[in-house]
Amino acid sequence: MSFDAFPFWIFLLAVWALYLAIPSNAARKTLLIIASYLLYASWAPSYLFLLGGVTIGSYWAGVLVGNRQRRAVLITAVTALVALLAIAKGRLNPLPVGISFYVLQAIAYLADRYRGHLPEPAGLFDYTLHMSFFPRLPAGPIVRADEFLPQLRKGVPVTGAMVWEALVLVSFGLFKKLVIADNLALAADPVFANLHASGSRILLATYAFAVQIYCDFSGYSDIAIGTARLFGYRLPMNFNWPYLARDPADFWRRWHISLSNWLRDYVYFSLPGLRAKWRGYTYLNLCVTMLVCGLWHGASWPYLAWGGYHGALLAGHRAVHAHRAPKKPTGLHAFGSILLMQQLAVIGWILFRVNRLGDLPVYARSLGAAPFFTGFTGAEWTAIALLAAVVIAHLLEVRVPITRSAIARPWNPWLLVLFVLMGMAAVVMGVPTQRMFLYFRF
Amino acid sequence: MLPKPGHFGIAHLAGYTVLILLLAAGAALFYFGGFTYFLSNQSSSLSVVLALTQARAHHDATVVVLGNSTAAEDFHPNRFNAQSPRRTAVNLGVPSAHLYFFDRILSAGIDQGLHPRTIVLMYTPEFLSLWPDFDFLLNDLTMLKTVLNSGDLVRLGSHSRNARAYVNYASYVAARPILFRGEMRDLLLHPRERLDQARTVRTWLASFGPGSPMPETANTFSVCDAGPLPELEQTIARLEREGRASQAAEDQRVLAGYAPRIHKPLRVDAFETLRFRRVLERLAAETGSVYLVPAPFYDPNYDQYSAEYRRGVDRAVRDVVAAVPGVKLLPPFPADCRLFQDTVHLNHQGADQFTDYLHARVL
Repeated sequence: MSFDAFPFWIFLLAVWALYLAIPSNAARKTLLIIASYLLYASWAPSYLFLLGGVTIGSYWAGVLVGNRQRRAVLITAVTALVALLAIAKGRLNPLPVGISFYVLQAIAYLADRYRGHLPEPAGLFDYTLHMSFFPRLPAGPIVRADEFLPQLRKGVPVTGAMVWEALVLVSFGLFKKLVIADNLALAADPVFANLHASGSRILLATYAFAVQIYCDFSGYSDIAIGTARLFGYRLPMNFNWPYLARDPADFWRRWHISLSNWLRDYVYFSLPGLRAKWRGYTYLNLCVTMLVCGLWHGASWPYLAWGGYHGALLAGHRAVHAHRAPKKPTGLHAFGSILLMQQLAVIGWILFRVNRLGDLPVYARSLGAAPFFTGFTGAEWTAIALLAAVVIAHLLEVRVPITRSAIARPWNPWLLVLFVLMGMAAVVMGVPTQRMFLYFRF
Repeated sequence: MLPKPGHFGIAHLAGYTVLILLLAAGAALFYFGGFTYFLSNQSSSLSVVLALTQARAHHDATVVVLGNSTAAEDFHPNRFNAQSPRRTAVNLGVPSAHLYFFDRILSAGIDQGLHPRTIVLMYTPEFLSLWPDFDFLLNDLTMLKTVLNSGDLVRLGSHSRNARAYVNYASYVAARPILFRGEMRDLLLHPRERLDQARTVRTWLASFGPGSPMPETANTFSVCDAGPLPELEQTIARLEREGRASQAAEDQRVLAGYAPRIHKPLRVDAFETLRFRRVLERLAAETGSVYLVPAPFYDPNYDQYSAEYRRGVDRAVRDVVAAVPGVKLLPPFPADCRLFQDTVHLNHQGADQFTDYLHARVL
């Protein structure tokens, strides 16, 4: 049951109706745990024990770590979790859905317990829901326990404003996935499968993939956050228009925010030399952190190269601004910065998308070979139109924050008209063969 | 541009008016048959609309023939009716129709005024197996989209393997615009062409009346002339080299039907057999007299349907027929390659003989 398939929405409506009918917070949480495990079973029944095992194991490790800061327990538990993740990524096929995300969440919980950010251990009941809450189970956002557990304890009444927010986010998310990402994939996938194409097709496929991965993952994140909102819970924002970033640090404050924050809090801050005077430590740590980010996506050279590339960008950016405080660019300078950062990000996506690094010379040769333009297929023309629409949306976002404005106008009839039209666009332009969300595979 | 939150004014009123109009137009198009007006000859539902037009035009027919393309091509209703003007037949066979389709098109035909006393259902060996990489039930729903209604939500229950499958298929019936995806996309990409074709289609459909002949195929090609089936690709290449384009085109058509069928891992499936039985029960309940006839096929090498699979199908069909009162199983129509236009459809001569064969046994 994928988030963009009918059965999921029927399941969601059924769970939501029951949730609203139940008055007690404890019973509601029980329902959500049952629903989460049922949904997980529909994806990968044989891996239910992994989710359950990680939940129980990290819960008890969290109790043991306690406030006495038992370092050995922490190191043992984190090592076991990392080893489990490595084995799963290396050996299990298909990869258990969501394991990359719930393992990071468990590590965050243990680290927070050790650091004293969570003086009281969570109850097993709430912790189980924290680990398995179905809207974010398959691909995040990664939520820190101190953000989510208080909401679970308190219990939040569902209001009309929350339902509207959910409707806005889910509509935008489905549109991004079904209309934009899936159609862009039709232009990107065939070219990356066979790089012996003309330069124009290679270039289009590259930009198409850069927008595809953004719309796919941010579309999923919108759906996840919106779905959680239906139950009254607030999940942190995972994307904030990353292609409007002005520099590499800004990019990572806008792209996969929950992972960026996790890497900053639990990898970067854990590396030695944080307070050292020698700046080389900072640059090295940035590179190491981003290499971990690449490895998290998969133990392959392209992901590692992508992580290393972003580490180098972050270190380079930090080095440039080591001697002069960064000024917020304005006007043309800002436009130039955004454009430059977009191109740097797109170069990164080439590393990320190629099947192996050995394909890079083929990519470069095809890009430079004559004739550059040999025509486009129908799917590629559609991709060009969609890329233009995405550019317009970005220009609009600079002037009016689109999602926030929509959320601020509950049950506005013109927005409802827009959602109906977006739904029709999804029907007409949806790609019949269903494509899994890209980040379900990580 | 957008009205301010919490303020109800003329902009809100206009917005709600547009919203209601939009929803009403959507309901009229996708839930109340309005889209039929835009069906062109590219639509998967045109064959259903054509079948129902025949049902309306020949509502006095008492024999209804159901099946997939084998029924559509192998049975010649005009020939049948010429032999027995008092007991006429109507052909509701539709290409690629499968188990869900048959009793559903019959009930839609009854809504058009049909009063069948005898039903002939032509079955192919595929009916009892799952078919790799193709969802026949979804295909049936897509073809039937202009006639689906809330009753299909109930009917789907007996065609769904489990609750998850039911939810999946029922979702398509509930969110019906999804089933029109192909037509809408096609209409948007080629608006003028399709609107012109839709006009032609409407005129053509309107031309059918009680006295008008029913559409029949007239292909006279014999599959014997295609040469050995496993060598079709080489034969086509040779014919093209020799400049015999029309013969190559016929062989290409044979290959198009043969290639997707060879060496498929078909296996008699218990649930598909149960679905088949439920369909027969419904058809028998409708008329009390159902003739089940195996659709003829040409498979000399047993590479489309293995001997083991054929035996399994025969056994399962006999068991089903024994369990459902009112259903009679007819023996296979004897045919050799001279009567086939490809491996699964009879040519004109074959269809004439098959029609006579049915006439002799059914009436």
